Amino acid sequence: MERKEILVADKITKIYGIGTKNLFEALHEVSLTMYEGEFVCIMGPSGAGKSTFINNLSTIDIPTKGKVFINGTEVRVMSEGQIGKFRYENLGFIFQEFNLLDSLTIFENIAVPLTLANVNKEEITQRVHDVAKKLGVEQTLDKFPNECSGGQRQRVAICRALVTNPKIIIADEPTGNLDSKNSHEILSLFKELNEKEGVSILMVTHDAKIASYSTKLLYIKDGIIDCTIEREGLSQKEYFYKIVDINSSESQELFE
Amino acid sequence: MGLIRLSLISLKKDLSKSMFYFLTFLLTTIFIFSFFNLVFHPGANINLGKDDGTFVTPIAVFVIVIAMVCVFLANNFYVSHKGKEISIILMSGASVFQLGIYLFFQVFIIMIFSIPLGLLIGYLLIPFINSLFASTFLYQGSLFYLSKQTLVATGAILLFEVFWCSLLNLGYCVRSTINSMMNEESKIDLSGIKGPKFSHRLFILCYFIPPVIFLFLKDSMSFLLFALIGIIGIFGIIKKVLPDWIEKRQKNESLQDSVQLLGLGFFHSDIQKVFGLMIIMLLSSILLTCVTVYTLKQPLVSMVALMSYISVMILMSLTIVFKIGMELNKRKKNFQNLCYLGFSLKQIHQIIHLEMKLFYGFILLLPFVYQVIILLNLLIRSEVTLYFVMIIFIIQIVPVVISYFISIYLYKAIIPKSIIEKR
Ligand SMILES: Nc1ncnc2c1ncn2[C@@H]1O[C@H](COP(=O)(O)OP(=O)(O)OP(=O)(O)O)[C@@H](O)[C@H]1O
Ligand SMILES: [Mg+2]
Repeated sequence: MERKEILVADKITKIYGIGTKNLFEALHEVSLTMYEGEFVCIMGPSGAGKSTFINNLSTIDIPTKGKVFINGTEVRVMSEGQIGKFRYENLGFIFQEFNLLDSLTIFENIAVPLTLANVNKEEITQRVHDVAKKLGVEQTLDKFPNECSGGQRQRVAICRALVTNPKIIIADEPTGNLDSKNSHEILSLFKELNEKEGVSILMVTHDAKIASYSTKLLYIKDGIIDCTIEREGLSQKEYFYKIVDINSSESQELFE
Repeated sequence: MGLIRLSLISLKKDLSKSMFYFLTFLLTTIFIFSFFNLVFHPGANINLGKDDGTFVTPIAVFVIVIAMVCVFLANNFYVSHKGKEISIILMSGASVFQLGIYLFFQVFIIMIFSIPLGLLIGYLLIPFINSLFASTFLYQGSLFYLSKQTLVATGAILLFEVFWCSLLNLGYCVRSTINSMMNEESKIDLSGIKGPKFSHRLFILCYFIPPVIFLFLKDSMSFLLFALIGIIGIFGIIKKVLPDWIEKRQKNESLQDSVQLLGLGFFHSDIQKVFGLMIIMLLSSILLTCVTVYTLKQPLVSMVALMSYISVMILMSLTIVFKIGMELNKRKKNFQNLCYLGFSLKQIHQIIHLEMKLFYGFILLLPFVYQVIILLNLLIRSEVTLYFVMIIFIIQIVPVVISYFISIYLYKAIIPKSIIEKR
């Protein structure tokens, strides 16, 4: 079966601080092909360039060198209008920081993407309530972000990403502020979206258990992809141990 | 339409962020209006442009440029403070066109309120300007006059501002990546300007030579010329001499007197962050004083220069206070940590006062030295009245002192509550 390529990175390099004294190359010619329906996880030490990588891959940032293709079109040749439409129709973003608007209620925050797309009022209400229920934040809908706990805010950010039924979820440590029960509930939800509705997922995490839900794992170190493992026939448990192995070989170096 | 409602909600709930923008618009409107009304006064006999035998055309250009810069800065602060909001909106799939409407709507509403109010205040101020003028330059005629040209010129400039800002905002959003807006990285920065490569001593010399010459000058026109040398000196002092001196102290006396070192350190970062604004303000103080003096023989022209001086001082103080306030917000964590490290409230107050005194002290005193000498020289030769001298001093001192107190007040707001209650 020919699988469709949705996100392709072709030798992308990201250099921060251009125009200043502190040039820093955070990514060195990294390439990746992500196919429709894949669930890719990215791990690696702090500061390795994980956030940089997914930002550059998903129109949030622009690589210094190299090309990014979305559904076969190079991002640089797309107009702003096309990119906006593409974002609305395809992408759901969840960031390391929650990025909620403090001046809007939780309901309004979740509704922003729908409001921009001129969805009618009844449908907005319906969809916001549905997704809030799925993530267990219906009680907070009338509150403001600063009246919610960290975990609740994180789940609200996830709601906002999911409310448009995106085809690709881009998530940077979406479970960073959640306890393990909550994290696994959310991961089960992602897994369900991935398996039943064919949603593709690109996610950064520090947690090997979370990563074991994926179908493919990239280990990034010092701005390059250090190694890649595919789950293929492995059970979640076997896959988990493989992931732990990679992470611990990193810590092994500490003892040498 | 949802977009406009979103835009309005955001405007309403972030009113404080819009305040500075609003004030800048209000003030520039007042100034531009008052300025042109003076220039177009039939008694002034001023022809802007080529036939201008006076000094008004360059002053007019200067004032308009300063007003534009202020509006530009205010606009830039406003939009870059909305970086998070803008990036969320873009992330949610808004097109640039939608974003343009979103921003334009907010800017438009702020202007709807500020511009007519500015024109009204400008109109009501005419009698005050009139009496200020009469007593400063011993002039008899009346200035209560509203020319059609004033309205046309003011309108044209305001329209240009609105157009320009909207375009800039859109440009900012198109050029920036979501990532950079999310991190609210600021866009304009004058600190990259490289000055002449003089040694420290030469800069200091450049600063101190003109006042010595001023003592002996007999011709009120030449002050301007020598002041230009002093400006190079001021530039070097702020850009090179002070930072290097602070760094040296920090290396040599590490942790001996932590309060002083912290105060100096914050002062250092202030100079770097506000460098461009500081330079504009210092330069305006000196140049506009000299121009006012230069044109003493033509009271109306001199009055125009004086008005410009007032406008620039008020606008720049406002902008600097705002910029400092934004820097302070970023320092909240630093002070939290200082508390954890065991600094007492008294020590923290000492740090704050030291920093602010140094910062505003330099802004006030660097030009003040020049002004005192120039004006004393003129006063002794009775070229100016004592009243004139007092006016200049007030214009120089009052805005800076007020800025100092506002900054201290803003500073107090970021000191962690826990330490205040502990006392
Ligand atoms: N805007 C920026 N300007 C300059 N350097 C940056 C910027 N953003 C990131 N960096 C640098 O690039 C490197 C990679 O950062 P990145 O945020 O991608 O790391 P990460 O792998 O996501 O780390 P973490 O797990 O801590 O989130 C870091 O060394 C960081 O200091
Ligand atoms: Mg990261």
